Amino acid sequence: MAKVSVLNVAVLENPSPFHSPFRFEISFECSEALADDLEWKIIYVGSAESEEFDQILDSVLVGPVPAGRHMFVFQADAPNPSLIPETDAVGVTVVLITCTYHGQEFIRVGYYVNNEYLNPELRENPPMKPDFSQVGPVSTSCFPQGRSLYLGGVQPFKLRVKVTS
Amino acid sequence: MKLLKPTWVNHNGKPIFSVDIHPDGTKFATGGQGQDSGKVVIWNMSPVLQEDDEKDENIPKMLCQMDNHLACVNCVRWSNSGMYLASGGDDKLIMVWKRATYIGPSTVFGSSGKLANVEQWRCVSILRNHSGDVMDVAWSPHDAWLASCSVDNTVVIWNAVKFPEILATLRGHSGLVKGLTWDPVGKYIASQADDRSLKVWRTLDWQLETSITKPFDECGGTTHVLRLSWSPDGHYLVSAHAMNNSGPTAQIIEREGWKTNMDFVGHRKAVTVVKFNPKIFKKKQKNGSSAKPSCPYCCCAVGSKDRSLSVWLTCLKRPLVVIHELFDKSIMDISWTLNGLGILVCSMDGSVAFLDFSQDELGDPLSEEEKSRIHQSTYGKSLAIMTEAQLSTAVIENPEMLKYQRRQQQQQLDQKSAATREMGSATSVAGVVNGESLEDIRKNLLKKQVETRTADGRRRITPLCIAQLDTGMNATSTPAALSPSVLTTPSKIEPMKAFDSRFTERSKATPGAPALTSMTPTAVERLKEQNLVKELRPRDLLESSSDSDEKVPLAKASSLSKRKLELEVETVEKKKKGRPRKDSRLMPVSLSVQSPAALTAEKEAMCLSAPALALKLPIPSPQRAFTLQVSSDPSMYIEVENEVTVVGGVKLSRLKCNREGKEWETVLTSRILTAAGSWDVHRQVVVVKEESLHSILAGSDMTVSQILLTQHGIPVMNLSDGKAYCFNPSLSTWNLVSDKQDSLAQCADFRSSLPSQDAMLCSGPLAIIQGRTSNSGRQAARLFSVPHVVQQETTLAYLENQVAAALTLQSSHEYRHWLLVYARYLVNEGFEYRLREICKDLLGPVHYSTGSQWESTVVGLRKRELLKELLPVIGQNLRFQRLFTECQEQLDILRDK
Repeated sequence: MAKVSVLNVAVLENPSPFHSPFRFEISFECSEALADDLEWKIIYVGSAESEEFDQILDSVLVGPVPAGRHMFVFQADAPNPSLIPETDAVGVTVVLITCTYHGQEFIRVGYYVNNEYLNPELRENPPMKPDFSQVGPVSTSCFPQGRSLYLGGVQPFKLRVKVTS
Repeated sequence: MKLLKPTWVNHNGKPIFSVDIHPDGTKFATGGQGQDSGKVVIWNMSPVLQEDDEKDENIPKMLCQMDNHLACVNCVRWSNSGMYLASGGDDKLIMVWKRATYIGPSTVFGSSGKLANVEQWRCVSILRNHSGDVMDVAWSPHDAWLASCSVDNTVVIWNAVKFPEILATLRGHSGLVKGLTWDPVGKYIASQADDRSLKVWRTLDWQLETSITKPFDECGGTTHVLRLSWSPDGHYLVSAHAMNNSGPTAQIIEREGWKTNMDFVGHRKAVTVVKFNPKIFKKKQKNGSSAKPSCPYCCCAVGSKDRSLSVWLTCLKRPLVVIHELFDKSIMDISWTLNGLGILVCSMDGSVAFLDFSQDELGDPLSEEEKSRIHQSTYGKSLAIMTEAQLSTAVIENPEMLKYQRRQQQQQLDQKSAATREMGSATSVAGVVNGESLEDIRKNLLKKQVETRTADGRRRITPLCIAQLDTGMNATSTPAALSPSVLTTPSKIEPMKAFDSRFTERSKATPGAPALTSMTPTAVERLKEQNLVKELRPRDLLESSSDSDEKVPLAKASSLSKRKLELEVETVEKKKKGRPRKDSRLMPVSLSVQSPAALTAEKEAMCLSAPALALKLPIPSPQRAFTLQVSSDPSMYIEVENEVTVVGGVKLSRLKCNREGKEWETVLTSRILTAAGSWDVHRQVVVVKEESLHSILAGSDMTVSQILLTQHGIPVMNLSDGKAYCFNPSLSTWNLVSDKQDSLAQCADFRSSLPSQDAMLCSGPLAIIQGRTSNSGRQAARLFSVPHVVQQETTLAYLENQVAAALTLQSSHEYRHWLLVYARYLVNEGFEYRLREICKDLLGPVHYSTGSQWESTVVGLRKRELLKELLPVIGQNLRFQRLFTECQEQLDILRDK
């Protein structure tokens, strides 16, 4: 059984302008005290075409984790627009929250991010060079991918892939 | 009969492999395939039973869903108490679930349904052992064990009191084991497997009782499960898939001789599941008809791959009802309600059906008492040991009694309210943490969040704990008030330890220590002459390494001139050096002790052939005493070790005792075995002197494995056959205090009478002599294997022995402990006469008379104080209220005096 499972992820300040930081309020449950910290990451998928445009917005250690329910806010700066391919700047992309323990990823929660111009005029006629100051990301429908952590048991790690939405 | 298919009970179209109704009938669990994992769902029963509730939006249908299993769940089973739910699945795991009280509602994150879990069930144990899919799990009657079977061909018995302890792994099947059932009186467990056999195992020793293969010869391994069932009266075991004349049947196996003469025929495809109604029925007595007592009968539901369900009564030749085409796919599991009038059936097609019978159709169910009476009369025992029901009508005559009863009820209430409080807090915990509402916390979470930098400069967030988990299995079940008489006194006797002693080195190591030994060469020579024949044997003696420890309490010793002592030490050393350890023959040395009492004792002891013995006292301290074990039995060779340990303020020096093999003894048994002498120098009294061990050592090749003295100076001798004797000075006899092979000890079951689990840890000389055998599984095994009446008697005898043994050992703590256990057992089982005897003795004469033989104390405990301790115990059973009142009043009178 999973020793750590995510109970909820709430997206704070949603929607908000492109340059404002991402804020996720994460609550998780742990059935046994963990010896080491959990590492959480926020990954912004710059382009659906290639992983090389993925930006790790932030990574943070969370601990100590005794048995029980816990909550924390994970805040990360907005992605660096210069690293995003111009063609993928506006439109729907994905932000991922992952959790690893001892280097092994076991939780992956994904959110769709819809970057669009707030100004209807710009929406109709998007400029050649994307103007990120006008973009407001909208995060929607989560799709957690794996939510199991095995510690010290006989069972090997097994990443469950669960894609909904 | 009414039939209902609640469509809302589903796993989103995925197969449902198992269904089980909670013993209290308010909910049921289903297990099967989830989205991409195994899934266990707990459902509310009332919307199934009542249409109004089904329509009522406010009544939740789904109570909780758990998708912790990694793969399909094959079986879900509630424990008989209803406290736990066990689930087993294709992920090779068994998970045991318990209702969590601390945690507020939650959802399964990321699941498509947004329904919050109404009840919180947490996995408290994961049982890992199987190397293949777990196909079936079953709780034993009384929830002592949990059995699981798997495609790895084994059945595993888990200790349900102490997960994840494994009591036994039953090996013998050569195919996938797909079904399990316990005998209702707990004597057997049966398993059915794809290897075309049904095996019955004894719970006594977990060995195979019988293997039935004939009805299964034609069977192919085509069914997903083979859930067999045992009838509630214990007479019949009904198998799943069996074949008779190439037709699928459910084979009826009689308990008597495991005969296979009958079967349930009619299904067109293999039988997957058989489930007996938990009730035993009898014919409805019609008014006016002759009250001819009809035979009680059982009711059984059979489900098959042919998608039909049949319900049979054992008194009818034909099924009571057959329902065809109930499902689109094979039936996977059946569960009866506890009242025996409803069944839930689940199918591979992912749906569930509920059948509701009326009493007219099935008959009058027997009450639990009648059922246990049937068990009692058929098997000589029943699992319903205590029948509280009859007592509930008794009138309480004494206010004190009422007080005790109230207090008891209060305790129960407290427990309950504590539980409900937890429930209550569970709902509010989400709202409030440390007096703050969750909303406030959320608002300030970012600001308040503790963020630090690790050594390598990374951000580290300390998460805010919003709820704690009750991780223990029984976190709230034992309030401290219930264990008032846990006895934990520090052990006064050193536990046995093996050590090797090198005599010479040690005597050198402590020169100047006031050794109290001297050699008596005359004795040596005399012995030489006497034992010329045996001179080779002591060599073996030295080489034989079977040794045991001796403990010598220190106390005052007479003063001796130091010079003399040193001289004596030297002689000892010389003697020892004079003969290399292995090759020379042993010099028998007689020993004398330089204390007046001991000196006389030595003369009297008249050792016929004294073993080589030397004593060295470890620390030159003024407080010295010692005990010598002088055995005339030459097979015993005693060395003194100079190791000192301080236990409970008493210094102990260890003696080493080497024993000899059989040969030597057979020569000696013809001789008179004069005894081990033991002087309690502390009191300057000879406790044991020239007592013959002949009576207890006679004839056999037993040897003394250990001799020790309790702090009260009672010598105790352990023999090699596991018996232990203590010497009773007043009667000059050796009394048996412990016997490892004692069948009484093995049959006795008084667990329910123990104040608490910890009380087994009551320590003292008796516990040390007897060793601690608190194997609960073992005891539980006895519970199921012995007729109850026999067990009562043996338990009583055992407890009486324990009390007596503690008394002879003068171990007051243990005496009190065992007396209380004994009394509690008498109260629980309702033995008034014996209880009265105890009380009478403890109370003594109320009016003082000189002629009275009664002593007010026993092993240092005041008897009346003991009686006061006993009173609350007696007060627990209303049946003894008169006795309670009597004792109470007389104690009051005595106090007023």
